[in-house]
Amino acid sequence: MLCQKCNAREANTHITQVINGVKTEMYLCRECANENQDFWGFAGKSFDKEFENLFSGFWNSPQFAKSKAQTLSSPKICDICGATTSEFLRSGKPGCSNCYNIFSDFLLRPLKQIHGSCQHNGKIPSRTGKDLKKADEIQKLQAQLNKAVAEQNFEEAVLLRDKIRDLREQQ
Amino acid sequence: MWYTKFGPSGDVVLSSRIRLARNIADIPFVSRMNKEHESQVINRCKAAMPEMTYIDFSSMTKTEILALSESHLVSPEMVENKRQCGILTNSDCSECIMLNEEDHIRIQTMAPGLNLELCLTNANRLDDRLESTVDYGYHKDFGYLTACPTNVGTGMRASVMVHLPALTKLGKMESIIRSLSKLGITVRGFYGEGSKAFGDIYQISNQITLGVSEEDTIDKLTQVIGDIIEKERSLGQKLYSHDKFTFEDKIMRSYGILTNARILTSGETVNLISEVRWGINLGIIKDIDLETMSEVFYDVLPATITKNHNLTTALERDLKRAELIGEKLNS
Repeated sequence: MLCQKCNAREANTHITQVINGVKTEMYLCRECANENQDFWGFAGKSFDKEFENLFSGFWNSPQFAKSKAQTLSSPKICDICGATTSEFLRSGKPGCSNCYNIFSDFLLRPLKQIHGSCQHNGKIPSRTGKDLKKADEIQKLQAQLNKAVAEQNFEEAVLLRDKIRDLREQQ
Repeated sequence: MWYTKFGPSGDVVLSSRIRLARNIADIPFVSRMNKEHESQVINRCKAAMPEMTYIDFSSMTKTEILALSESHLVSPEMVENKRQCGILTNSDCSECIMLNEEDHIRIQTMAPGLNLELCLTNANRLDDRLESTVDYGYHKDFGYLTACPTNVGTGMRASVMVHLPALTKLGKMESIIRSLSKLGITVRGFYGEGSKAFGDIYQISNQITLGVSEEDTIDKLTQVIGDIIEKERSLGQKLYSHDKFTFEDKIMRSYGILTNARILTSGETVNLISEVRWGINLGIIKDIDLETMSEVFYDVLPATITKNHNLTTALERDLKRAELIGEKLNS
């Protein structure tokens, strides 16, 4: 097996890293493993580089060879920036925002590995994300409603139900 | 300038910074942009933020851009940037929007001391103003879409610059860095990725951007840094009381060199300033305050001093540096 970092030398070191409860395993050659020991991170590889390695490590590993071949047999092309499936698989970098829709299947695994999640849980843009914001609010109210019903707090449940109805009507 | 002011926990924390990465939905990322796209990004953002001043980097020298990066107004990447790029900024340079850096838009807000909350409020204000006319690339699952997938989600990097001489001298940094990395927090040198921690100054920032909210990220970071501040303070006191005279002697020698030397290189200066700052914090040096030290620190950085005094050689720079520091600290 080749080293997942340099893709040139034979891998003879197995490294397991746990970040945010997510386990990442890497097979490296001695030279790259030594570099990896640099805990200080200053002279080490950047986080972006780590993603690239992780990404190519995934899609170039033998276990994904079949799905990679299948994907390459029906290639996709991004209509905004012109990036193709093979270009994307080579770099692991989207060419534009639209690439995230086109190549999302390839991104899920590495994103999960690196961030420990593939579900955004932060800010929603106020103008372009208006509907998303509303859906998010409805979801939160729905959870509160379920809780109120479970606790037999019917007065609050009625108020919550009306709020949800109002929000749905605005959509 | 904002960075010379004293902020919360200013004895240990030099500054806080929030950076939000954003991209325009219908324009390719910088790696696939053409000239036309580059101007579109700049024009749309300039139109959205008329109250901010635009600084066009194509009309600036490399030293001028380097000076901006030394005061952390722009990232070091902007210095080598071959694209049409620039920044939108406010009057005291505490708020800045980098255009055509790694992402189309990088909003950056800064504050003295430990104050990520204020930085986030300011960053969100700029973000909302921009977004009221500019369409961002956004995905319901992946959040804000960025050129590198390591930044998707919030697109936010919160960083805090800390001065940790006691923890460094006692060799505690390695274990701190290791345990922080398990929490998705990274520690870097003064100038971010790839840079060394000179002058015992470190940048501590979040690494994870997807699946966590902006508020939770800064809460976690603030809490962790609070613990580090306490450790640094108590270890500093302990080191000082352990061998009082030797400690004072070392600090006062650094102070003596800093205020009397004729030639000072930037590396030596940063280390001397670090010692003197420490001496001020421990009450050993009483006639200078931390704000003056911050002012001196930024004024004598290599590109800043070269630009401000029109210098050409390294020797000229080192002589000027010693002269400026002497004037400032002996007055």
